[in-house]
Order: sequence, then C-alpha cells, then structure tokens
Amino acid sequence: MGKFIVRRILQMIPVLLGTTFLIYALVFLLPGDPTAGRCGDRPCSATYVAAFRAEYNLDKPFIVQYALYLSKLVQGDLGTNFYGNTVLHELAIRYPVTLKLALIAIVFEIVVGISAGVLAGIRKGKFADNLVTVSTLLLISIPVFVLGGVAQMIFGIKLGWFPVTATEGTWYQLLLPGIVLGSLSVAYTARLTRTNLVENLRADYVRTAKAKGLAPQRAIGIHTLRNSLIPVVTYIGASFGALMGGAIVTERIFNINGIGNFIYRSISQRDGVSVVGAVVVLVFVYLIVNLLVDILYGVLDPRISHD
Amino acid sequence: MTERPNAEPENLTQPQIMQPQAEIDASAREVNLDLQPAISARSLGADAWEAMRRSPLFWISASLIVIFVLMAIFPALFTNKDPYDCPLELAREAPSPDAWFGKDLLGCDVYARTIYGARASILVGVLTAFVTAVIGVGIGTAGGYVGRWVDTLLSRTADVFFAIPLLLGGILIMFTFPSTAETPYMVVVFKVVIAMAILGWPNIFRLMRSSVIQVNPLEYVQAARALGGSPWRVVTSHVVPNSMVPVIVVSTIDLGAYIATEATLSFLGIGLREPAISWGQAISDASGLGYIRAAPHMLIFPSVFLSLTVLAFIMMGEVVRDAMDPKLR
Repeated sequence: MGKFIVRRILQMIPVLLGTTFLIYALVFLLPGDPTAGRCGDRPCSATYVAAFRAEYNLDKPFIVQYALYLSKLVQGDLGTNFYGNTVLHELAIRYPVTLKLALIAIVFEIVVGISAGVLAGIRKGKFADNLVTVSTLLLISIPVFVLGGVAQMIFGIKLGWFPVTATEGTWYQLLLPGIVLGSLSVAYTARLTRTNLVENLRADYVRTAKAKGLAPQRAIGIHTLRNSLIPVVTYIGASFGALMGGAIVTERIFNINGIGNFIYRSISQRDGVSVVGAVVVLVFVYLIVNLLVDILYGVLDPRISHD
Repeated sequence: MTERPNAEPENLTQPQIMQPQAEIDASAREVNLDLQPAISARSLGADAWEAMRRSPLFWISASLIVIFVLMAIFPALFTNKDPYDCPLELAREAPSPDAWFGKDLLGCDVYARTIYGARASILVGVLTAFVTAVIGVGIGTAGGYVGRWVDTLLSRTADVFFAIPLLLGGILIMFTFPSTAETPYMVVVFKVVIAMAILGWPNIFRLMRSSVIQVNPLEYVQAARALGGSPWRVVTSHVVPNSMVPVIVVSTIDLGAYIATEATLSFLGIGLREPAISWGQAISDASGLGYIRAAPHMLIFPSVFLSLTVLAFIMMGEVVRDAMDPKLR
C-alpha cells in the first residue's frame, strides 16, 4: 500500500511540472506582449515593462526563466498586486470563506446526488427514474451563473427564504450559494450513481446475494452500492475543477468575499499578477485533490493493482 | 477494390464493431456473421436511425438545434428590430406588446439582442467542437495506431493539458490575450475557440485513442493490411471511420458545455464584449443586484435561450449515444 501511494505521488511529478510549464508558456511565452492588459486598457509604461521583464527574468534564456519562475512558485511567491499586497496574503485572508462554500457544495453534491441516483437506479424505468433523469438533464444545461441569478431572484428576493447576499460569509448565508455551486455536479453525480447501480444490479454477485436469502436492502445497500460508488468518488474529485471555476461566478453573484470574488474583481481591474497567481493556486489545489482521490480509489477498490 | 466504401457519410455513424467490408475475404465475413446472429439485415447505422426516429427527445432537440442555427445565420428572419437601436429613455422598460421581452440597461430591445446573441454562442460552440475533434482525432489516431513510445509521449502530453480545468485555463488564456472594443468580431471568437480547444482536446484524444486500440486488431483491419494497404489508407478508410462514434457523441455533448463556458467567460468580462452581442454578456449586465430586483426580464430571456441551446446539444448527444449503444436497448 505504501509503495502504491509513493508511486502515485512520483507519477504526479511530471504532470505537475508539465502543468506549471504549460501555464508559464501560456502566460509568458506565446507570441504577444506579456505585459498587455496588465495596466488597464492603456499600454504599460516603459518603466513598468522593464521592471516586469526583470522580475520574471524575461531576458534570460528560456529554461532559466522557467526554472526561476518555478522556484519562486515553490516558495509561495505569487507576486505583488496593484495595492502592494502579496497575492499569497490576499488569498490567505480569503480562503476560509471559499472553503466553507466548497464544503457546502460537496456535501450537497454527495448527499443529494447519491440519494437521487440510488432512488432512480432501483426504480429504473419508473416515475422516480424519469424524474431524476429529466431534472438532472435540465440542471446540466443551466450554466451556474444563470442558476445563481435566478436562485437569488426567487429564493432571496421573491420568497425571502435566504439572505440575498453573503457578505459576512456565515454558514446560513452561504447555504444558497453553496447549493447553486454544487448543482451542476449534483446532476452528474446522480446520473453516474444511477448508471453504475443499474449495471451492478445485473451482476452475478448480486443475484447470488439475493439467492442466498439476503434482504433486498442489504443486497442493494451493502453489496451493490459499495461497488457502484467507486467511480462516483473519482468523479467527485474531477468535479472539483468545475467547482472552483463555478466559485468565481457564484461568489461574484452573491457578493461573497472569497477567492473567487477576488479573481473576479482582479479580472475587472485587469490586475494580471493577482489573476494569474490565484488561478495557478486553484489549479494546484485541483491537482492535489485529484491525487488524493486517486489514492483513495486504490484503497476503496482492491481490484486495482497495488504493486 | 478501388471504390471507397467508407466515403459514404452513413458509415461515419456506425459503431466501432462493424459489419465486414466488401473487400474483405469470405472467411473474415463468416467469422463476423457468426458473432452477430442475423436478427435484422439493416446496417447498424440504419438501426440507430430507426431507434432515434422513435425517440421524442430526438425530435425536440433536433428542432431546437435547427431553430438556433437558423437564428445564428439569419437573425433577421426572427426579428425586424435593430439590436443596436437603443433609445436610452426606454432603459429597463418592462415587456410590452411593442417590445415582447422588454428593454435592457441601455434601452436596447431585449428580444432583438437575444436573437442576435445566438450567433456568438453557436459559432463558438460549433467551431470549438470541430477544432477539438480534429486535433483529438488526429493525435488520438497517431497514438493508438502507432503505439510504443509515440503513444506514451502523446498520452503524457495530453495528461498535462487535461489537468487544467477548462474555465480556469480559459481565464488565464483570455486574460493574457485581452480584447478591446476595436478587436474584430471574428478575432475575438477565434480567441475564445482556441482557448477552449487548447484545454479541450485531450478529452477527444483519450476517447479516440482507446477506440482505435479496440478497432486495430479486428479482422477487417488486419485483412486490409495483409492485402497490402498502405498505413495511410488503412487508417483513413478503416480505422478512423470505425472509431468515430464515441467522438461524435462526446463532441455533441461537449458542444453544449463549450457554449456554457463561452457564456461564463463573457459573463466574467473576458470573452466576447461590446460591440459583439452575446448571451453571457447580456446576463452579466442584467445580474447586478438592483437590476434583478427592478428589471428581472433582462435576466430571464437571455438565460432561457442560453440554457435551451445548451440543453438541445446535450440532449442530442445523449439520444445519439443511446441509439448507438446496444447495451442500453
């Protein structure tokens, strides 16, 4: 098992290097001026361009540039934004709210998604199944920012059940935004659970379990569900990427003072250092979450080779 | 032998394991027929069409797609109003018989702008799906067919691109290459398309690679090779057409996702911007808090159109998948 974990972590290193390189290439290497758009809608002054080129070592050979950038990144140096604050500091004061929001979204995704999927799966072809299939299809089609605006209008303003904005970031205030954020992934989770459950219910081992006299709840709940949820766990890891993109939109709509809103505001102020720094951190979080899920997957499914 | 059976378009929609080609010798044909008892004489493509024709979801999504594509090409068919005719004194006016969907922030007609907004979404969605499919199929075929170190190299490269979430990467790219109000419409559209294609191709690559690996050892491919077909000919007329089904299905579903992502980028202010008309931007303008309260019509109508377009493509992809996948029948 230990060997398996170490091997997964080692396999992660080339991907991490490749990803940072790709981001670096996208931001600094492609044809075009890397300082374009960093000074609002005006071109940057010669002094700023010179300082920028020096800070990112753009005059040095390309491999050296990348190595220096990487060493800065590893030390947590994401640059300093317009206001003279380091991006790391800006992120550090904002991450608890975003973490709360993501937690609500993930709990919602797991609880509602899996229950809906199980309900649909065990009643395949019946009303509950059709309801879940159709409503998840609708949910998948509605972009998060549309859902956010509409939910805010209906539940916040018309019905008044939830606070319209979540400026202080309490759990209650974050409930509606969290549900909105988790709604896309909830639909995929439900569909994936359903498909896997339906497939596994036909498996021989389930027939054996029923034939030897197990109660249906036990045959479904213990034997089938456990096997059906393995791919769902992987999906929940992968959905983390969509979740972080969605957080930018959700936090803007509900005026939540988290990392997403920070990125949104930096985009509108054309504060390049902040945008790139914060997005790079999110990509890293995504990669690490997926590494953890990958390891968890190996623990959950003994059929996966641990050698 | 000189005719190219796979040049017929219907072959493109056939699933991975196909009936034998005319040019394959009789023994290969027998083997394949044994595996598929003669339930019907129809080809699998025709079979899938039969299944789709009976599905109401197919007709719903097909008509929605036709409507939105028409709207994108000939917006004037749907409205005779000018989307740039914006009397400011009518700003945020509620829907009326004169302006069905009401007026927006600047007094422009919401209905006309919603109709004209279809072009950006459809254009970005279709182009991105096309570009990712071309890159993914090309590189995926190379990896799956050649194998060995070429495959390893291509797969590891794809892993790197796959590791960056679409929206986050899109933000980075669009931010690095900003557009201004003077940037020509098509240039902005291409920027968005390229940004999403850079991050979207590994999806198609993985699918294509695995289906090429499945098709490669089949008898008719072996036979074509044994008969002396050049690698180029074996790939273009046997391997690729017979591996395309999953790519077509997933590209259709992804098309919807690309439209949603483009709208999100425009919503964040780094996708399409004025003077281009797009749904994402309209929704962004309308979703300021005061406006949601005072003029919800500005939010609702572009939102409904955007969601319906995404829905139409996702639904179409699912209908095609269900029709092509015999396991679900």
